[in-house]
Amino acid sequence: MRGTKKREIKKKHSNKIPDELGLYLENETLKYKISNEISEKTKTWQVLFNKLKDCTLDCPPIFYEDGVNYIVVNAKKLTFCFTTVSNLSPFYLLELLRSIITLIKDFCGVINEQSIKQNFAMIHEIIDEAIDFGFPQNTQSQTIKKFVCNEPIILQKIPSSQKLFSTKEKKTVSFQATNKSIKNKRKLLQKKKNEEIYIDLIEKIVLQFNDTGEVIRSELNGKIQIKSFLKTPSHLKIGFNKLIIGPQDEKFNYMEGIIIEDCNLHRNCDVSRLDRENIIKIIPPEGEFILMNYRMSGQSVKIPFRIFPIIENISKTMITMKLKIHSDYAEHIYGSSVLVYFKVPDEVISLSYTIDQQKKNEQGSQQVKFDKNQRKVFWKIQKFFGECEKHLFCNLILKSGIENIKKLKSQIGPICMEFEIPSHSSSDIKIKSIKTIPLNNLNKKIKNPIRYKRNITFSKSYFMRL
Amino acid sequence: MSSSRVIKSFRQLLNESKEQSRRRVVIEQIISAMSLGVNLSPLFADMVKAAQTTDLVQKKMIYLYICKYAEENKELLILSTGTFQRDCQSQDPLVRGLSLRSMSSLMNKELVEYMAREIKKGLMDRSNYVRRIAVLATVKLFRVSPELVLGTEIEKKLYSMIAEVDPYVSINSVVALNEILASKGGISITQKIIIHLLKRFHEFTHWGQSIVLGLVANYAPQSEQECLQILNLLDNYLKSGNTSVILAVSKVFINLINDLPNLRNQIYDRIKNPLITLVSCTGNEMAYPVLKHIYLIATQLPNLFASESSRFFIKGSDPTYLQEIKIDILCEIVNKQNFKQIIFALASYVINSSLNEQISSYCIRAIGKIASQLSSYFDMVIDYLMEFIELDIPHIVEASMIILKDVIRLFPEQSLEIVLPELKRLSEIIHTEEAKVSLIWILGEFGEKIDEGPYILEKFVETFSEESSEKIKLELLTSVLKMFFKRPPESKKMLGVILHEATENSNEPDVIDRGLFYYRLISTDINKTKSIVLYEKEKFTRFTENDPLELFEILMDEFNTFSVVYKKPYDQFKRILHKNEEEEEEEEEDSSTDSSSFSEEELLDQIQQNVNDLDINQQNQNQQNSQEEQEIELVPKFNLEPSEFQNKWMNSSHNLNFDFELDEELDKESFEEILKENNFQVMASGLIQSTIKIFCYGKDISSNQIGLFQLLITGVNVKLNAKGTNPQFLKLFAEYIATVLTE
Repeated sequence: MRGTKKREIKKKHSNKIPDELGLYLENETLKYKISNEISEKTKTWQVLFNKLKDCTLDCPPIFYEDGVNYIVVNAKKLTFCFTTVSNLSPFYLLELLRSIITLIKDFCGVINEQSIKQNFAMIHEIIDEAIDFGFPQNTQSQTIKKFVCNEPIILQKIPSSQKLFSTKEKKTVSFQATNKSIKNKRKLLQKKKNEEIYIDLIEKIVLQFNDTGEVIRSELNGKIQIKSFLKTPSHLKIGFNKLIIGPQDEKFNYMEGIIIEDCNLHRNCDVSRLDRENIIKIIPPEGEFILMNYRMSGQSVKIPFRIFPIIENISKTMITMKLKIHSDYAEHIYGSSVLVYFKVPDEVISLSYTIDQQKKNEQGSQQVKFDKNQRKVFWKIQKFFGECEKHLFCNLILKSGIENIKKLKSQIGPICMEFEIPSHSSSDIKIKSIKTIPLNNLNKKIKNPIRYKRNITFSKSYFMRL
Repeated sequence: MSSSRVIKSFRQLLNESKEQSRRRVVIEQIISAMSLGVNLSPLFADMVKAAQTTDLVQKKMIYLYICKYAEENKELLILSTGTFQRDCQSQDPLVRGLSLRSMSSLMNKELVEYMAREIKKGLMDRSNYVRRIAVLATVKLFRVSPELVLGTEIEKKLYSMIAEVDPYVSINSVVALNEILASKGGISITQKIIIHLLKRFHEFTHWGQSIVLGLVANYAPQSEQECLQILNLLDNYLKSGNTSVILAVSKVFINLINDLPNLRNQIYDRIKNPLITLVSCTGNEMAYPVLKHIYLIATQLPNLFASESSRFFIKGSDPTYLQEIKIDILCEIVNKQNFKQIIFALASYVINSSLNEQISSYCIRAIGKIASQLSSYFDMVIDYLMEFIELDIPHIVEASMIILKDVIRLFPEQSLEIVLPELKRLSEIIHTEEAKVSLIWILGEFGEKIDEGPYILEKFVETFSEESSEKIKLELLTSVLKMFFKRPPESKKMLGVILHEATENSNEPDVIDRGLFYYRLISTDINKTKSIVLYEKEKFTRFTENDPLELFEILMDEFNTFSVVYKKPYDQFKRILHKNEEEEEEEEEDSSTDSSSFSEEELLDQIQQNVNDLDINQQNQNQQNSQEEQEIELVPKFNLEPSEFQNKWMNSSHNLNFDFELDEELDKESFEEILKENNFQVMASGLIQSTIKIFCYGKDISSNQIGLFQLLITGVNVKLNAKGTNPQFLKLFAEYIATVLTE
């Protein structure tokens, strides 16, 4: 009896403190330490976890306590933290911490508690080479590799929650394919098979409509992310479908192309041929890196979905509304896990609805739910093909005794959308070609590496105010 | 008691494994266990012996181990010097570098001579990998004994090494000199050094670039020509893929403005776009400090970002820390062109229920702040505030009323026209305390201007005796008195009632005091009272809560540091170490190293399994049985003096909070009885409203540890706060209390 109770309390206790790993620099001398929070009883962890626990709002990534500055970065459910007492540049430390995380990821293949626990010795080694006495040395996987002796222990099973692409097409490779270590002895032996490069074009879209359906704000943030497993040092040439033009460019006036507002580039990039041939050249470092971040806004952003809400009638007992969503992209691609939701007044007690099913075989792929606690109506569409329309008619039934009808209307909305559209880019930037040319041209026998390109558009914030 | 068995089994494994691959696995397990917080210090001698291996993988791990436990094994360290020295002579530069780096990291006084000798050799090494490690080793040497570095040939050598071809050696020399000469303000920045470093800027890593930029920011160019050269050279790096470099360039640019005042706007224009890109492209963690820096620049140049206001609108996915700073920025960059857009956005956040309550109150405050900056639009602001109040959502009403009051204080004449006719309706719909106080204040100050003013107040007076809020009572007293002097015929009766209620029937001392004070004041000299109560208020235009302008000037000097993020100069958050604090810290560390709450069984299991994988004899299996239960039993008649208890309570190094639930409700007496039965000693107990508060302590027989704790019991919910010196004991102790109480 006593034993069982004890265990229960223990469980409760450990639920409160997130079971996470971290890494931190300490004091002016900037020592580093990898440790498991559970066993670590130093003050730093105590402060950090109290802070994470106590924060009623989200914990800011930079804060101080007792004159010690904490820099906290979350990656895949793990918390990484640096501390220092000097008044340094927060960007310097954040970038450094991120580099370390990328390094660990490059070497271990995936980043999670298990993979870190199994590779402690190697991670110590990596950090020893990357940071000497608190001063960053070399944080590039490629150059560090020759100094690291331990072999990584690769996790075999990869939890499905890490998947980014929810669709399974035969042509595409799942995102997990990139969960490999750049340092893997067995694979080194089969050299040719292992030459792979992944190029991802990921765009996030921010869009706001006003009540008449006009776009009042549209922004797009994109990045081109590369993960290179090339073992032969090579030039990589990436060709784009259209010209990419900056706002200050003089060509802006008379040439057709995609106008971006600003971008930043990887340091090894050669963009000298970008304006004539739409080509970016780079000698890719091994591991994961971002080739380019760009942003654009206004009319250059293509709008994937348009929302047409009609509130037909508001009476004392019921609100009738019609919602139409129109998709505006190529027919053969589809948005997956499209979620439309909107808030309804507190007085709504239940909902009746009809979904307009265009084709019979699509039945069951749509779901409508009313969440009483959140006061929200959710409408989920599994597959939303391009160039088509979906309709939702709903009757919101009100509780009796309502007088202020005007107030009711102001409490409907905003209508928000969440979605991901694989193989679609809202900026219209597309990767046309990927070529690799070995640096050492004498050795022409090397097979072309396997090249994967993927693009996807995500919603970051997509809504309409009523 | 904790890790002795683990150590024993490790030692055994180390001695038994002869094959290199097996030794590797064993050492790897040792590092793993060490990283998990197990104290493996006793293995030191064995590990030093193992360091003689020629296998680099093992050597690296062993050196890591030695560095970690050097402090606790000072007397054994001398054993390792032989190995270190031998490795410093190795043919392999990796081994030389490793050995030098590890040896210098020991930071031990006794080894200082060996260290200095090897560092000098290392600085001359033919491998640049070793040289760059040697350069940083000088900093470590400096920390141990400064006199061996300062003003010696090492310092001179470092200066000459800045010119080395290898970028790492060059940057490390700069870094090392900067550290060593920190007390003299860092490395002396000459034109020659700056030109040299900027010429080869592209060779350096991002970190190197950031460090060079830090120097350039402190460099005063000799001529305008030179300023422009630096500007043009660095302009390209505003497109760098590394945030740290972009911000460091920005800092250089901002500092150069002092030399080129006529280019001020142009320079800021160059910085603007990269910063905005960073906000949207780098993830929330990075966006946070970037926004803080944009906010700072916006305080200096509000119009720079004015046309970009939509960039700072809140997105649904923003965490709250981004939401707050975005609202701050919107307040700064507001102008006549974007005013409507910004106010509209803020207003929509207020009613957007997916945002946090605190944020919607924050937005309302922001709206008030904007009204104080752009006085011509205050009527629009008031309209919004009235709309919010009608929503009848408590936290929104509260914040809106307070801001409404402030707006009226700022623009009394104009705003009263709009607000006064609404007062009666407002008085009927608001319920919360702060909102009521604000309303009563407005009534007292301006209520005489409308006919029904005194009667609205009278309504409040009628319920005075039932009012539970002291704040409302006090405000009401003052307001009624003010009204009395302005509209005596209607208010005379009301004043009598409220003074009577306040002085005769109130429980709150403050209310009685103020009532009596007014009563005596009126009865002494009524005219004087009038002049005191209705004094002429000075007109003001700026709230003192707004941040002082000088602060931002100081922060501009500390651009690209934590100061900007915290909105505080470095002096205000810098760490100050007191003498006793240092001692205390040491003590704490002691207690933390010998305690470990990991599960020994699990760890042993894991080690066992990993080693078994390599066919190592399974000799330790018999160790595995017999689960050891750690039990607490308390000393029966243990006594602490109250002062001793208090002292221990204040000074305990470890603190543990945890909550649990009881099966049934108990009263205070039964709690004390249960505790006493189990040999806990009750120091003090009390009842606050419905919460029982008990201070208690106990001493464990076997470990001799003392634990103190406080219980807060409301119904079946118990909040436990335990304090002591040993965290592991504390946990057991807390669990014991919970077990005792729940049974």
